[in-house]
Amino acid sequence: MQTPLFLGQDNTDIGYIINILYIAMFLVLVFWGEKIQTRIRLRDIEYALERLRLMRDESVKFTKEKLKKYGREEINRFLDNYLEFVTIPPVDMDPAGVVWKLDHIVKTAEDRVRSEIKQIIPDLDESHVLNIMNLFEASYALNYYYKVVRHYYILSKKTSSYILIIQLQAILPQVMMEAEAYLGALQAFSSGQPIGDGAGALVAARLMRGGEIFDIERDNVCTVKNIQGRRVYFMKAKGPGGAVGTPGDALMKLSEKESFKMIFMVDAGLKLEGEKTGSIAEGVGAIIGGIGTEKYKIEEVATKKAIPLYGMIIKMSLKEAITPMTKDVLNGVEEAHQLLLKRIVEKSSEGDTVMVIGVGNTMGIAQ
Amino acid sequence: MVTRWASPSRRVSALEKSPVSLLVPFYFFLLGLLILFSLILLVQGVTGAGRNDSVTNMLFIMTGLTGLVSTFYMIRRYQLSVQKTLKERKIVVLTVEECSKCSYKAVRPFREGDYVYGYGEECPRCPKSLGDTGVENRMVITAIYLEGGRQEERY
Repeated sequence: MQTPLFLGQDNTDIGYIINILYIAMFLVLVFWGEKIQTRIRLRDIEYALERLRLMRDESVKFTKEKLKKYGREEINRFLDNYLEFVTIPPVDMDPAGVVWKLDHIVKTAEDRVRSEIKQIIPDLDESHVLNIMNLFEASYALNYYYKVVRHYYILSKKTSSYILIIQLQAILPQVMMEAEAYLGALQAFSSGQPIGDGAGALVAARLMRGGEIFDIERDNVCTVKNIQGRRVYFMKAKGPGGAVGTPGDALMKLSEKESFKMIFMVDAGLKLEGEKTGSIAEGVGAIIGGIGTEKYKIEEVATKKAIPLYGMIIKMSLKEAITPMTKDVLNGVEEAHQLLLKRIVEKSSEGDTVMVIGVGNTMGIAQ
Repeated sequence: MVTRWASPSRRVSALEKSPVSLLVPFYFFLLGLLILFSLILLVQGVTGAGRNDSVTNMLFIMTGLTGLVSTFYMIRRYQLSVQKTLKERKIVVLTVEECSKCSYKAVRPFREGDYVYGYGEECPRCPKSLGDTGVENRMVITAIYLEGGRQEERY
């Protein structure tokens, strides 16, 4: 039986050409294989970087277009400056008291941006100022992503570090996903639509309906209602502007005059891939994101006064958290609302005082 | 106003198309070479090219066909990716209004200035009272959400 010959094994002209090609390819891959791979990976990074630049430029352009209606040229200049704004975190060599320092710095930064926007457009109401701040933050985030990726791209190119290039390429899908989410959030921020992160605030808003609303501390509102003999405090950030409030400060103030039997917290939480959007997870602890200062204050009050901290998370992806609220999240809000009422009655007794905090960005959600 | 919230994303997609990249012509040049090479192999396999070895001829035909199929597959993939980028996503945000008196419920596209627990339009069912201050007859916005239920994931 004749042995079958493969391409290049026979003594034809094409066979010789293919043999030479194989040998050439082998030599090229042996000597320049890593270089070729580096080039290919760098091209991928370049493409992502270009896309990030376009996203950043588009977000800045979109924000400026939206601000045109106010007819103030200074706001555009302020936005350009804001993109390079830095907030220096406090020194943490001696960690005692670092939370209060960080809290002070963050509030100072927020106050400065808020006051400058108000200074440029004096007739703007508070909710619009907060929405503009959210728009600025989206552009800031996109600019930051672009600059960091560009930094590592240039650095890896300069040093020809294969490891650095692989690391950068490995995290790029995640970075691009987050950048896409921020780009998608612009329209919601500009027109004040409720976003997924406002799920916790919406639960609180639903429970607050009909109660007498009063302001407490910075950007928070609160009401007291009677639920089956329990005195229940409901708190959320003050809407409909895009505020997250300072629930920690408000809780500290309220706990001075009230003795809470328990604290319930509801917030939007990032789901893991494969989990259902709008599903509810119950648990214990201070359910609140952010830089950690508000969480610290809530934990301090709860620990000092031995108040149990219960909470529930309404699950969603990052994109769903910062873009207009989806129907799935809204269904989760309804479920959390019913579940929370049930848990308040189950866990507390008649005559108890209970605190309920709806955490999250309250853009497009009043009270 | 119907809100198409993905407009900045669409504009980025459109901008991405604008710079003339050398990569695309180069890619198609390589695909052209591959088609040519595959065709030569196929013709050689079919005609036999002076060989009486049927196994080698069959291998030539198979390689040529594989080359052609994979080339057309790559062209189709490119076409699909272009179509996907250019496809306009119209995502509409809806506002739900409810009358607190008669529980009438209405759903309409979101308008700038709408917010949950803010006032919406007048209730078409409830009669306007004489001493109406302009708010009494209006429905309350109870929900604002994205039509379609879920966000489209690109990754």
